[in-house]
Amino acid sequence: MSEVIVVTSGKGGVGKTTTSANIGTGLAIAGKKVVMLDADIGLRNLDVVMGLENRIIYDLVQVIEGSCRLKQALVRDKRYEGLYLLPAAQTRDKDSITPEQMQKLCDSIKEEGFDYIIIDCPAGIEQGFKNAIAAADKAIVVTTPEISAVRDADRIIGMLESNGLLNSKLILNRIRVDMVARNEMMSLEDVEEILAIDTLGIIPDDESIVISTNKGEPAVANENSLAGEAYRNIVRRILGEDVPLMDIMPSVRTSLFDKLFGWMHREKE
Amino acid sequence: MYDNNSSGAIAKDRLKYLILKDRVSCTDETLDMIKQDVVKTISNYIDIDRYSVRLSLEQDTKNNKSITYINIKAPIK
Repeated sequence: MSEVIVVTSGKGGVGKTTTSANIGTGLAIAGKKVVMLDADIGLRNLDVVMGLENRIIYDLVQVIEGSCRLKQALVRDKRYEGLYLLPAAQTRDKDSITPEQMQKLCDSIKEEGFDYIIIDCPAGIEQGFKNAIAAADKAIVVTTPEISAVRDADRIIGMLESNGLLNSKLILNRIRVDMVARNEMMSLEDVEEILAIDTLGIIPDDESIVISTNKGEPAVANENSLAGEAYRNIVRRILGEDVPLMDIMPSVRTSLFDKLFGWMHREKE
Repeated sequence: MYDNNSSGAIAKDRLKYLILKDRVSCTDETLDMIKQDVVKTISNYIDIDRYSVRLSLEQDTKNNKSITYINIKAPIK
């Protein structure tokens, strides 16, 4: 049985592509056969985040139009057994395919015996979004703890529901623990309360993501990356394991300790 | 946990109200039109201070279900 998961958000720049890359790679590392499908036609980037931009020959629109076979368009990631990328077209626009065609495309990928299809959804709520969710069995909604991103996530959750995608899961990205501790950033609890969906994972704001994107190597494969660890946890949850949310309290404790220490210091002075 | 002036608390409050309006797909103009109509209707029966009428969207949780309602404050003269 293969499962199609769409990674979406509404707002751009909150980490959809990075999340798609890391989940896809993580599932492959766990031994699954995975296609990462870039549905962002005209603004493809998943190939770049994965470091596969020089390996593209054909794209998804060409497969749909029949000018190449699916197997020709799938880019195999040589670093991870079982991991493939189906790139978006860069010189076409989002209206060049329909939701029905996306559905058929995913069906033919499933026939190749893949366990997971991870769809990187474009930003926005127009045609590209409708194409990207057409074949999805499950949806992951990525947001950051900012008003605009959470507001858009709320709209997207509503639209997913009206398209029959219930029980979307939340990934809260780029949390700055120090700022949450100072009450200068909304916490997971705040965002959960407002969006009222289950949390799949939290990702700390981590410069290792920038570095891994620079190199084209997903952080999930980096044992020393905190965000990578967060993505590894998310992958395990997708595979059905019960993994507790990353403990962000130690840093809160540290900062409280720092505060106390600061007060003591001032007292002395 | 919050003191009410922290920017985290401000963000949460602003976000709650934004989402409330998004969910009922109600613009400020619509709310204003409703207000004008309500003022007119009530004024047919009772003399109210039409410049002090306040209309807002609010949310309450009852039995784990959240209910959104329109709250109208119309001071009687």
